[in-house]
Amino acid sequence: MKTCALLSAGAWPRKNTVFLPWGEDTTIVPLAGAQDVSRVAATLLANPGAPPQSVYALVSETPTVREMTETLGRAVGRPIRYVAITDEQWTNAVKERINPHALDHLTHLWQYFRQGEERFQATDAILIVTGRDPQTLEEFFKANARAIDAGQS
Amino acid sequence: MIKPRIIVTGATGKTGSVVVAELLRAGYPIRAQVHRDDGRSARLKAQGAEIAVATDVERVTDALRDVQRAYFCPPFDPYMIQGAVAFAIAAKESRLEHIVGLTQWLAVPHTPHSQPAKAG
Repeated sequence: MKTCALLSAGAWPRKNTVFLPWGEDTTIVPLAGAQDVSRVAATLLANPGAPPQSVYALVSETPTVREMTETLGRAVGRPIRYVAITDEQWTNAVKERINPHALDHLTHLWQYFRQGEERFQATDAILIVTGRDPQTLEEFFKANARAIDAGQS
Repeated sequence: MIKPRIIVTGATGKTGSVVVAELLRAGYPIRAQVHRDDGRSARLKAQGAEIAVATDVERVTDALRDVQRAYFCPPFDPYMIQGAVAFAIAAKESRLEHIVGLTQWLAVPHTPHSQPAKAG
């Protein structure tokens, strides 16, 4: 989950607080795990005939920022606070680690999420294509809890 | 039956590396396209993938030679469009039978980008 990976890559200037430019904590963030996306791709490459769609929308969950923060708190075993920051503050915090083009893309993506014009819905594409339930956000956080803790200063 | 050769672009990335591992496990011959020879590409080679270092059009064309299927995951960099064009040209020349592309954000079915162009 690329979006969630950012929680452990520059969003932790202070302990137990997530600083991200995601606006209100009611902002919805559509998620899909990298492992699940990869398995979909591998399955389709191995079996190009079925299911015969040209586009698969891979969205396993659509939590709000508040739900994501609460889920993270459960995974690491302590309350986590979310603090909204500006795009500029976030850009300044991560620009040493993310190339300018990707940074620009992500900044537009955050704006898109904050606007909330899209009614994101989870899809069953991952289950249909791979035959396996997608990884949940909680499973992802638990699997990466140590790395997330290591990202704190 | 000989399985088709599959090229995986961005093979050292978060999704590419898993695609390589999954397909190798399934017995497919894999050509891993990378930007440079380094420790990550060495690990892919150790898993059984053939390594193709490809950063420009000619090398991409070479990388797609004798390949039947492809995983295309373009990097977010200033040359993303040029890279996609180079890949498309090479894919056409190689007559790939199947491409799985990964995009973000604009690939949902109801966006204009995913709708077929209307005639007339």
